[in-house]
Amino acid sequence: MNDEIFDLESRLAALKPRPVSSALEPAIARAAIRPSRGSVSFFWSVAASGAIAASLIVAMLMGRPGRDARAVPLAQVVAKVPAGSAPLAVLARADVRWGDDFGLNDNPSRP
Amino acid sequence: MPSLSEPWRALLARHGPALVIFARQWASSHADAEDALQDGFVRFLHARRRPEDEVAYLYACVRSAAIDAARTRDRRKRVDERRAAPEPVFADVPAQMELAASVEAALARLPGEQREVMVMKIWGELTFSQIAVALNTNPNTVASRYRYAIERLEAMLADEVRHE
Repeated sequence: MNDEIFDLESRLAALKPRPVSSALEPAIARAAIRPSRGSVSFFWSVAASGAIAASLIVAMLMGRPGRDARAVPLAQVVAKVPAGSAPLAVLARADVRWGDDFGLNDNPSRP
Repeated sequence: MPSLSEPWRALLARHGPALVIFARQWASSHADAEDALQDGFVRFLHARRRPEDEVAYLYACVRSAAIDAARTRDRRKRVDERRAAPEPVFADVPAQMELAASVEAALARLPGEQREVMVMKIWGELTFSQIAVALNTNPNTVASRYRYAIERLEAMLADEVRHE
């Protein structure tokens, strides 16, 4: 059995494949110089992903409510500042929460 | 005219003809098989890292290119190709024409996974380890597929001789 198989392998190996055409080598060389379809599509997918990410970031920043929306309107704070108050109290009133943090708003001696 | 550098030209000259037989498993003509070889060779040249076994990797690239081409080929074109006269896979050597036709027919009847191992082993002269790398499997599986393939081929060719 092994001899038969060895003989068949020899007969098969003796069959010569058809030669490749002479135009194949220059065609491969030409195609190798051009950027591959894979690298071109990779470039475009990276570019598209970057553009989408940038758009999302811009949209998030533009749609985000500003800090001023949560803060006490400036006009209300300024309107409550009496004339002639101590400079520190005036500064604290510029942001009511800061004044609370420092206990300035609860100072009974404050005018 | 652009040309390949010497090592790649030598690689193509050494393995090109066997790679065309290899690609013919998924292509219906010699020209389509050469196109797959071209595409596979370009993929091989564009590899980001040089593989440990260049020949095995080249076979893997050509295999993948031939399978991709077969998938994307126009369906209508495939129907036309089936109607066209089959092209011989082996070189026209008058003393071998009969055997070549029988072997070609027998190869076509083998399961694909056995046929590709057979082509790489006999005409590509790859080792079982190289074939295993190219097919991303283990050498024992490759050896087993080869044994089944050669036994089936032997039986098919013997049947043919008996019927003549």
